[in-house]
Amino acid sequence: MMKQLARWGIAAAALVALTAAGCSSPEPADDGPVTLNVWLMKDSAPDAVVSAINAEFQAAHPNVTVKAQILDWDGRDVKWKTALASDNPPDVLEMGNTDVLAYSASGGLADLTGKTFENSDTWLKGLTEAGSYNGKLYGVPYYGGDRVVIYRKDLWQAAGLTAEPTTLAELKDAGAKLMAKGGKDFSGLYFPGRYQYAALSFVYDAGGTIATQSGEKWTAGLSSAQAQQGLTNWADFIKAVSKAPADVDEANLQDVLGQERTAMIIGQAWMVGQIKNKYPKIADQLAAFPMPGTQGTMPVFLGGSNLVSAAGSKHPELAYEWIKMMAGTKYQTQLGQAGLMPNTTSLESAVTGITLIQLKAASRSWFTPTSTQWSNVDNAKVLMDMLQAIASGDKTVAEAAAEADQKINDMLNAAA
Amino acid sequence: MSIVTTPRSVASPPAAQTPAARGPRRRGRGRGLPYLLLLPATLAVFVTLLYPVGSMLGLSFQRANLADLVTRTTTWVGLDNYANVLTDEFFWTVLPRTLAFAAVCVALTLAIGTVCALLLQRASRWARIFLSVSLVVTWATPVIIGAAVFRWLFDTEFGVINYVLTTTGLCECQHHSWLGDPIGAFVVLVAIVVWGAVPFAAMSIYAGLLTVPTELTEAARVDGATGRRIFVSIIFPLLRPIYAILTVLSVIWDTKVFPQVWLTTKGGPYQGTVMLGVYIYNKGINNSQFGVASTVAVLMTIMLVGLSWLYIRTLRGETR
Amino acid sequence: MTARRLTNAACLLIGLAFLFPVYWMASTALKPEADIMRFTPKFVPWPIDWSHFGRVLYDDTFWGALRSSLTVTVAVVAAGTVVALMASVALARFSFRGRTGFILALIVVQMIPGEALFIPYYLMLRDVGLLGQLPGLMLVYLSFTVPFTCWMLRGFVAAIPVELEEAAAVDGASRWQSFWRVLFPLVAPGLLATSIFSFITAWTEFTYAYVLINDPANYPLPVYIQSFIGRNTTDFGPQMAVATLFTLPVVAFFLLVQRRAVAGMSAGAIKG
Repeated sequence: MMKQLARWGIAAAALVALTAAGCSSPEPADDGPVTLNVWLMKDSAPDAVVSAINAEFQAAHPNVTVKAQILDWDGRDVKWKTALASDNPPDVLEMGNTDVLAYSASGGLADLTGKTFENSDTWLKGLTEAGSYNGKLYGVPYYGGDRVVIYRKDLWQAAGLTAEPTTLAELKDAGAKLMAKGGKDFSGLYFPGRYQYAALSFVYDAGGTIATQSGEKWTAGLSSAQAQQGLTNWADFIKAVSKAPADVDEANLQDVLGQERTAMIIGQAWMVGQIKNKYPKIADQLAAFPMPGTQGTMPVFLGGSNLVSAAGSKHPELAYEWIKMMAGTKYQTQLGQAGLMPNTTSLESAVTGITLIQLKAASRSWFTPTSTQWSNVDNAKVLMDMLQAIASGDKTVAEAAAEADQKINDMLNAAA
Repeated sequence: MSIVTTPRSVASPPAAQTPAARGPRRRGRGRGLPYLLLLPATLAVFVTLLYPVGSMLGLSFQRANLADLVTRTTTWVGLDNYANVLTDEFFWTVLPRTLAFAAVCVALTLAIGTVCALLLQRASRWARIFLSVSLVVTWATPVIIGAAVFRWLFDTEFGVINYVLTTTGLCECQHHSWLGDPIGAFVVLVAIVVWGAVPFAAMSIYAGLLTVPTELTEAARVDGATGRRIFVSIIFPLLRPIYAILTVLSVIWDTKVFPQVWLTTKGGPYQGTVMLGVYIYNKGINNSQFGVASTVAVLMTIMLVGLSWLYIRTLRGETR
Repeated sequence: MTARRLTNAACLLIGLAFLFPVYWMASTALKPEADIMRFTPKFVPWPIDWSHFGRVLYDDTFWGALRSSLTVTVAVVAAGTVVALMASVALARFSFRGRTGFILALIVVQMIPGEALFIPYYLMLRDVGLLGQLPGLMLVYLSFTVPFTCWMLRGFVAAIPVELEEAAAVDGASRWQSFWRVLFPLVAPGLLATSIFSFITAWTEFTYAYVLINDPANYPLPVYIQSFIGRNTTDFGPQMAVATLFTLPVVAFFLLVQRRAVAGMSAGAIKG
């Protein structure tokens, strides 16, 4: 009854309104003309690769048109949650690997366990972990990303430094030296306080961890002796080599490097590309090495994306085929050549330059706790706030860690 | 903007402002006409909102997390959501914070708006045009852009504010972090909200000023009253309805404030700038607790109704 | 006289203070990429770089977004104004059962926070089949703007002496004529004010547009503006260029209509 009334009212309103785009037509079965909806994220795979895969897919399935849509990172949650609740959700979605878990647990994603994918035994661990829930696979590793130290060779040489550092202590010394040489606002290595993915590596480097799970219960571990040691190492490190503010995150690192306020940053390959465009003066002077830790390279946070399929998708088979193609050797190689880190360690030969260094560093990686409630912790910025408090001196390591632990425990163990 | 309403004769008392004096009549003729006139508005507003608001009300009694939404199951939890929210310590921090923030913003908006309106009235033509165009351009700038620009102006490293403060020697603010602590962040948020809100207030008050009969102010001035006395005793009482509406609207808008906070601080630092709008968004979209988010929305609406009760009662009085 | 000079100076200062962020937005759109994010800010864009505007103006998506925005906004303003005017006349000039309740409902409806209504609105439009299309969005915006417009216009209409219409009726004018010839010109400034409000609301709304429209070809301008925020950085140059282009129509609309309204106003006042 209400619906009837609403229909009339809305029909009347619609008549008054001007025309809009055409209505959506019902989706016929898989052998008639089919539209495969693929939602990819901005700044991910290059357009050329996406066009190539769509062309090949359409050639292999003549009745299918692939409609690829690029989503913005800002506001993706709203878009995904409403889409998954609709009658016609997208068939394939790209999700950031820190996003996948919550959706896996909701029942909104298709279970892809047992399906075959190329290279699945050499997939990057961090990506596979992120895409799995309760032993089932929901998100196929798409591409990865981690961070290495990007530095300026000319300043390095001018300071009399010869070899790339292999231990944290060496890096600290180098940074201090560069900072002393540089002058007033110059950092040896610009390391802002809220740069959580780089800072927490210190915790894992010292043998600590953010949180562990036993059965159903999560226990936060930042107050452990190792974790606190790691945080102290970090606090000492940034004090020695960086003049970056405590309340800033990593949004503008490339500008700091480009405007010559630092000799080093912890960054990713795409930053180098941007610097080369914006600041051609220093473009040729950039090089990179993996971040050294106290025992070998420092474990890196493995970021990246996974490919998922909506549980309500009308074309699950086609969706699986598309994902399989994108995650397969051919296109992963293309991604690697474009500067993204492929989803498997077996494709080292496909990447060069900084991406290669990133891939090598990925052999020692860490990932955020695989709890479906983790996104709450992330959105509440618990870790960033903790780091900022330590970096600004507002709290001691012990205080800040204890406070963060309490929040993490509350959030991870809250009922879903 | 020079809005001129019908000039009021000096003879009519200030109460002429209220519609009650000009009571509606036509009781007998065309009885169906008012309902017919109201029909489109009813459709556009109430019929449209019936489902979403009803649904929101319903969701406030359900669990409604992402799994529920996706699998289309309804899990009733009775008053659990309400109990959760009302016993949540954080909620009781967010609530007073929201009200204090709104109070500050409303006060500043009305004060600055009044100043601007008075200036508009007394300035030379070029100055008046300049100021009104500035206000309109400000009003026309979308909130999302305004917030982005303000955030940038107050940036720790790249911000103009720090630069100007340091170069003019007002303070050693080179790396001053505005958004790094909750107090500084609030200063920035108040600036953004007030900046966006003053134009509408100023224009409305200016429109009202134009309806004040000049004979009244002239007479008072001849009698030796100062500008301030004139404003307080003559102008303000005449403009009371406008101030009343502006206050209610500003309270509603500034309590519901969301995009500015979300785009600038996302509720940080240390969750220190989370206000009700952000709280609802966090619960709903981020944590997928749509039931709880709806509960907070219901509570918030009730609170706003309570806050505006005085105005609503006056309204009922005059339309009876 | 110095009082006048002080007033003018104050106007100038306050105006500049309000304009500065807008100036910053426009000047960023004209700066070369490397000048945008600097430790030492550059206040004047020199050399002027038109490439950001160029990039935007050559982008088909921009024109599509502009078209969508205009469609939705014009429809909402036109329909909303008519609807609200009719309703406000009813509320201010007639006495009938449910009148107070209606006004109260209009006010209360404005207090509901929009963030809680994304999902319910989405579900409703889905069930009625208007999801993903511009008319659905228009309906949502109407439900936002009409309450406020009604409420405001009611005040404007009520403030106009009913005697004027009665006099016209005595002179033999029909109900419609007394509305059109007497009431309408006098309420025009109120219409102007509220239509600007509706315009800005519909023109700048982001989240509902993002959620309720599926096809990127139909996204209105605010969504297009947000698309310049990347995963890691924001592309300020083109974003500010779009923002500048975005703001221009509103200012133009206002400046254009304002003169008309004033002209109509003085005419109406003389007649009254």
